[in-house]
Amino acid sequence: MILQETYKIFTRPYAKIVLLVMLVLMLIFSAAFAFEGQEYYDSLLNTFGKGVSFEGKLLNGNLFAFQLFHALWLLVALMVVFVTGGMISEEKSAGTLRMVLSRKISKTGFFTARFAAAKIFAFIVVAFMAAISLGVGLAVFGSGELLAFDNGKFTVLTANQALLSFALAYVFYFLMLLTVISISMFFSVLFKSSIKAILVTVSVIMVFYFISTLELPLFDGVKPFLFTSYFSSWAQFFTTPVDWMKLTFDAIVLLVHILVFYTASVMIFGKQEVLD
Amino acid sequence: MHIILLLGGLLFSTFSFSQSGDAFSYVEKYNQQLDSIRNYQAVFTVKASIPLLKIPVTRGKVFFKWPTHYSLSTYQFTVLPKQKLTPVTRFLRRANFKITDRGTEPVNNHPCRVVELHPYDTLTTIAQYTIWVDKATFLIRRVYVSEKDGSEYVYHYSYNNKNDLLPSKLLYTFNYTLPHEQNVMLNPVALKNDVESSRVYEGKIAIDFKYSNVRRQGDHN
Repeated sequence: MILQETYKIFTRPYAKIVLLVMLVLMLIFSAAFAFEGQEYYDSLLNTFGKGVSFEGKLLNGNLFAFQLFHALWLLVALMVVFVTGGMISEEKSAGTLRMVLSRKISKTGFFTARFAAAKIFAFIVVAFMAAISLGVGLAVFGSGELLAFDNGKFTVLTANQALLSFALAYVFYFLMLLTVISISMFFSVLFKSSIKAILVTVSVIMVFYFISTLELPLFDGVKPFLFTSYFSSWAQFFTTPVDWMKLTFDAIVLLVHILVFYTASVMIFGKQEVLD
Repeated sequence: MHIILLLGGLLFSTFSFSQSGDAFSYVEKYNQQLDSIRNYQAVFTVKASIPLLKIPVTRGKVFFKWPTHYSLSTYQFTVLPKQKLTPVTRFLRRANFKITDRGTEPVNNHPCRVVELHPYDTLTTIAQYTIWVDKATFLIRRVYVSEKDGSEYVYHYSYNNKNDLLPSKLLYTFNYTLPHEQNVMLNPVALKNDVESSRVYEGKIAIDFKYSNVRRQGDHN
C-alpha cells in the first residue's frame, strides 16, 4: 500500500517538476559559484580587515554544497507542499476518495499510508538534494575545508567535520520537511480543494517564518511557539561547538508538531463523511 | 649671536642624526645577519583566536631561498598575518624613512632599542613602524605597524636561543572594525547605536616554527 502510494506520488506531474526545478536551480547556482564565487567570498573575508591574509583553497565542493543548501532549503520545502498538499484533497475533489475507501482499508490506514508515502518522497527529495549539492560539488570543485557563514559569524570546518555536519544537517532537514508535510496534509484533510490546501499551507509557513526571522523584540515572546522558529536549526550543525541541547530540543519540538498534526489529521479525516 | 645659534643648531641636528642612525643601525645589523641565511624551510602551526571566526589549528610549510624568494604552502585553509611569513623588517631601508630614536625599553626582560619609522612616501598606506631590537643580540623582539586608516598590527617574536636569527614563535595581533552591514546582521540594534557599530575587535594569530635545512653563507654541505 505504501509503495503503491509512493509510486502514485511520482506519477503526479508536481513531483517531477519539484525535482526538475531543484536541478535547474543547482545548475544556475553552479554557474554563479564558478564564475563569481571567489570574488564574493573574498569580499566576505574583508570583514577581518586588511591585517590578515587567507591561504588555501576556499572554493570547493563543501562550500558549494553549503551555499546551495542555504539557497534552496526553504524553496524546496515550499515546493514539497505542492506535492503533498493535494494528497487527500485531490481525491476528494476528484470524487475518487469514496472508491478508494470502499476497499478493505480504514480511513486511518489510508491516511497513514499516504503520510508514509509523503515521508518517502521527502526522503528522496533530501537524498536528491544531497546528491546534487554535495555529490556534484565534490566531483566538480573537489574537497577542502568549509567556510561556513551564518548570522555574521564564520566557522572553518575540516573536510571530515564538514561531511559529518552535512549528514546531521540533512537528517534535521528531513525532520523539518516532515513537519511541513504533516501541516500540508492537515490542510489537505480540512479542504476539499487542493489549491486552497496548498495556498493555506504556504501562507501559514511564510507568515510564521517571516515573524520567526524578524529581529524585533515585539515578537520575542511569540517566536518559541512558532514551528518555523526551528526550521533553520540545521545551520547550527555548521558551528563549533555544536549546541546539542538546543538542537535536541528543536528536534523534539518538530517531532511534537509532526505528531500533533498527524493525530489531528487522522481524527478529523476519520470524522469526515465521504459523500461523493 | 647668529653664528652661535647656527653652530648650536648644527650640533643639535648632528646629535639627533647620530642618535637616529644608531637606533636604526640595530635593525640594519639584524637585517645583515638575516641576509647571511641562504636558504631554509620551516614547518609552521597556526593557532588563531579571532572574534567572529572559528578556525581549527592548521599547518603549513615555508621555504626561503636567498635573496628574496619566499614561498609557502598550507595543508588547510588558514589565516596568516598580512605580510604572511616574510620578516617585516627585512626590506626596510634607511633612506625611505624619517627615523626617530625612542630610547630603550625592555621586552620580556630583554633590554631593547626602540626605533620609530615614518615613511617619506606619501602614497604608502603605512603610517608608522616601531621596532624593538634586542640590545645584546640584535634580534627583533617586537614590531608595531600602524596604517593611515587606523589599523594597527603588532608582531611579537620569540627565539629558542640567542644565536637563532629566525623566530621560533610569532604572536601577531591586529585590530579591525566590522563593515556596517555585518554589524547590523550581528546586532540590529547597532543601527541605532553608534558605539556598537564602531566597536574594535582584536584578533590574535600564534605561529610556531620548526626549521630545517637552514644554510648560512659560508656553510659547506
